[in-house]
Amino acid sequence: MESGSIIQWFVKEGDYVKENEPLFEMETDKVTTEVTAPVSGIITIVNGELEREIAVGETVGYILTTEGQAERVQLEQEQGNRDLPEGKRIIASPYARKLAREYKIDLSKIKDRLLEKRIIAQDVLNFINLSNGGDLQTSEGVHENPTVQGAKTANSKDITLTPMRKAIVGTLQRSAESIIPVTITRTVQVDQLVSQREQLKQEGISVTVNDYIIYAVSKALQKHKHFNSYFSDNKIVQYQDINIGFAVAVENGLMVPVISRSSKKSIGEISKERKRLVEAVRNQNLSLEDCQNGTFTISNLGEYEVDTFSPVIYPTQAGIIGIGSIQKRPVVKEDRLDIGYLLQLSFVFDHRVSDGAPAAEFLGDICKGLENPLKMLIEM
Amino acid sequence: MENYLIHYYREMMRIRRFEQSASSIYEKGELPGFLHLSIGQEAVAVGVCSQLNKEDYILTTHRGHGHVLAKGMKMKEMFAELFAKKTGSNRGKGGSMHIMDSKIGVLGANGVVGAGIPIAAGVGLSSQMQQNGRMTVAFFGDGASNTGAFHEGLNMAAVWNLPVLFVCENNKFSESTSIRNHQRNRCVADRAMAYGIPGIQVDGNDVEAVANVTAEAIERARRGEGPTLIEADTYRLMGHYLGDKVEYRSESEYEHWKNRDPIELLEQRLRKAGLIDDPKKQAILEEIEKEIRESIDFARRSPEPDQDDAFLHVYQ
Amino acid sequence: MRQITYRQALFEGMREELQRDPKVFIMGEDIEDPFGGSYKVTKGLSSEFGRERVRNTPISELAIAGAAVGAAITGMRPIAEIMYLDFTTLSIDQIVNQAAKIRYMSGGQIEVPLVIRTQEGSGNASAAQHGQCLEAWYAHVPGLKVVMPATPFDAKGLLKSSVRDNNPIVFIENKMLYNVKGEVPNEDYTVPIGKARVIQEGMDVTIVSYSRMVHEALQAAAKLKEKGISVEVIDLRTISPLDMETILESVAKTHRLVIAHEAVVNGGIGGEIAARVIQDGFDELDAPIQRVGARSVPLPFSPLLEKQVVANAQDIIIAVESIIPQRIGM
Repeated sequence: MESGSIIQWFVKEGDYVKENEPLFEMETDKVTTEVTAPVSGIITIVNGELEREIAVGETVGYILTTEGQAERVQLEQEQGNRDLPEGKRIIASPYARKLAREYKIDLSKIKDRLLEKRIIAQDVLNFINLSNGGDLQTSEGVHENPTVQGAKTANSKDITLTPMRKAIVGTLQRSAESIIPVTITRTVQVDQLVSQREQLKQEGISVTVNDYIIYAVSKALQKHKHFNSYFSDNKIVQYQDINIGFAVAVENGLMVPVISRSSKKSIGEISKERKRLVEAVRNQNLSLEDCQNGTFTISNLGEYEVDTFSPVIYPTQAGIIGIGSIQKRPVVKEDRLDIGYLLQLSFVFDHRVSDGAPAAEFLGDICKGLENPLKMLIEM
Repeated sequence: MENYLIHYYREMMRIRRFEQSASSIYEKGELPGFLHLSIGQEAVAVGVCSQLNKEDYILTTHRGHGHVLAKGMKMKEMFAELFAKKTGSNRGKGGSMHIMDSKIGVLGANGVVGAGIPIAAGVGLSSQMQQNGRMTVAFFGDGASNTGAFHEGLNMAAVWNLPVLFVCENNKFSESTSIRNHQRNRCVADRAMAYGIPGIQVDGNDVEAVANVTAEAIERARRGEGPTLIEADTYRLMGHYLGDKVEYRSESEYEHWKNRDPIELLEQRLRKAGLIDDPKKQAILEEIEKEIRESIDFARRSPEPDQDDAFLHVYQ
Repeated sequence: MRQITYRQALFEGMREELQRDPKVFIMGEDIEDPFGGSYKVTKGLSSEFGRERVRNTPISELAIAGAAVGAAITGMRPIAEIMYLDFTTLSIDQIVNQAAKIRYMSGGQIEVPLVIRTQEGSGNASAAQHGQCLEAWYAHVPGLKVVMPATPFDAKGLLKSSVRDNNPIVFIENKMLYNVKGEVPNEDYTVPIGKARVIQEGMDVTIVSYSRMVHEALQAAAKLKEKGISVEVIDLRTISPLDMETILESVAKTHRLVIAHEAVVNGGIGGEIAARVIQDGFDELDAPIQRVGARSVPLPFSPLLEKQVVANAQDIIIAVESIIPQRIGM
């Protein structure tokens, strides 16, 4: 619409108008439409002659608001124009749409498709699955789950698996099939970390334990490259980049967004990125790229006051660290009893890529870093 | 016990008055669908049905009001059915062309010409297998005698020796087509020979004659000698359906048959025999009028079928 | 368990019902011994039960069906054999205008407990008038039930259920299944009308089928399994009424549907099933619904040409693969 003409005014000079109240009726070559007040206030008409051709953008009048702002009244682009943005119609199968609705996934974010012509359920599942750290292959039929006979006397009820749970199960089973996990646990005293964190909090900077740990793990992986890898086909494939995934619980499942190239980031940058990703999970618009290419993972159950636990290594990785809660505990300091903040870390690694001693060293370096974070942050 | 001829007279008059009353309410627009009146053919209905028991069966046609009334259907239920009311014999779901009353062996008027004939063979088969001695009568017209159903049904009943009477009301028309134009051999009874069964022609407007040949045919069937084809010579005084302008027949033909009105013929005989006089006739007519009035009233007052009735009786 | 043929199973079903209920009788063309029927299904019955209860009729399809109606409405339970489904065109008034409607038109006074036993299908070079699959016509008529067993077990069980059912039933056998063997128990049993059977479970696609095509579907499923595609096969067993519950449950699991029947695709039962799945299971579909069946061509006499027209396991495989994305089989 290029222009129109006013055919009728509903208000007069000096009237108090409310936001969205119809001000005047105008006619274009296509349609007759009402123009409404953009804000509330007193209206001054400047260019309101009837049946005169008025161009789009031309000021018709002003509305003076109570805050003293003068808001322009002008001809806008045709209202109610429902032209779809070019090429934005998303073609997806009914079931794919159902899954997208259920898991609150924006179909337009799905770039990877199996078929050219439409998004199908598998594309959505892949998206969900990838955010769990698995690989692209999620065939519901290929992995036969063995049937287990339950107890004969107990009453039971079948619960169908949700797609998310199916994807998680698939990932876990693939892990279990080949990886040979071994767990090493260490307890770290994190008083310094705790007080440093408090201090930063006073200054309005929030850094979490996870941020420290991701930073520490990234540094340690630079030194102990063999844990930034995975075992496949009788060889160890070492990743070049260090991309750390961290598990985020969602309703009835979990997502694992990835902080890519974490070893090249400062702790501040890690923290910022981590926050962005958590926000994306909360708002249910985590993208595929955000979940791809993890090389190592951490998982923190600290908020549930878990002491320690051994998480499952993702099939395309060789290690994962399970983090417990920070607990105030009695500690021995120079042969005297004191109180300190203790944190337990469990490092689960694939024994095929390395052995216990190197694993202990790796975990040791991480713990050293967490014990003395200031030193860790300074060291390059 | 009433003299059987008076009984015939009363029965024929009942049919006549039923058809005339139905016709007049139809013309007022009170009845949905179509009416196919059997005025002029009452003697066949009464003659045949008078020889049947309650458990015997009849299959009839779209022009079957006379047959089913003569077999013993209640006028109330018939009118209610014509009015498509819930209290109708078929609960409003069949209508004039499909009137049925299984309690008295009225296995139905049928809207498809000839369809009742093979069904009648099956009913006869059923009686034969169950050995219950029941007779079956299939009424149909000259038009139906040209259907495959006629041929197959009669042949089957003949070869299996079934206790069925095939009664053809030759009323000279198949809808608007005169018999002259729909079969070369206008004698339907001749066809019986093809099946090896007796074919009897009778004056369809002489109720007693009809009754007699029916009785003989029943006897034959009971003796195990199988079916009989009876051709009753008669005439359809009204059109094919109510509303039919009947432009396809000649006045002289009509007049000829009007003078052979079966009810008047019987009345003449009864008067001659001193069996009826004006007061007696009046009394009979009044009784019939009363029955008709009450039946129409009943039908008018009766409720429509429930909405959900539309979905009943599709399957058991 | 013993293995008997489809033919034997039908024979046993009829025999047991004739024994059980004196109201049951059979009539049809050439069914008496020694001939025992065109496809020899009734061989032995007239000798055992007599020619009154198992009787030959003249060539009168109209009267066969009509007499069946007449007998059924007066207390008997007839099984009327129409030699070929193609010939029911000659009986159709009695089946569609009479049998299907008498209960309704009579306002519930009269019922029609009859079974029209007939057979369909191509495969023995009988050409265009002796091999049509017209079940969709009868499924379309309210008041009729249409039953089509694919296995000896179902043939016997469904025939017995049909005889005992108080509605008019068109019971359609398949000429190429008569010699197929299957497990049939010795004891008395029936199979419920109106209930489909999931023959094998699967995760990737549902194939709904009936009669001879069930066997083609199972063959197709075996080949597809080698390619890593997991197929769920459903045998409808009854065409009318349709067991939509079983079908919808399956589609909710696999999200892909192929309907395979021997009948011509155009206007066939596959269309009705597809429409109902779209109506009641729309959100479960991950791919367009595929129908597999015969081409819209009369059946040619030449066996070579017949193969061009009639669908088989290969057509089912192609249909399945067309709706499964390539990744399966990695």
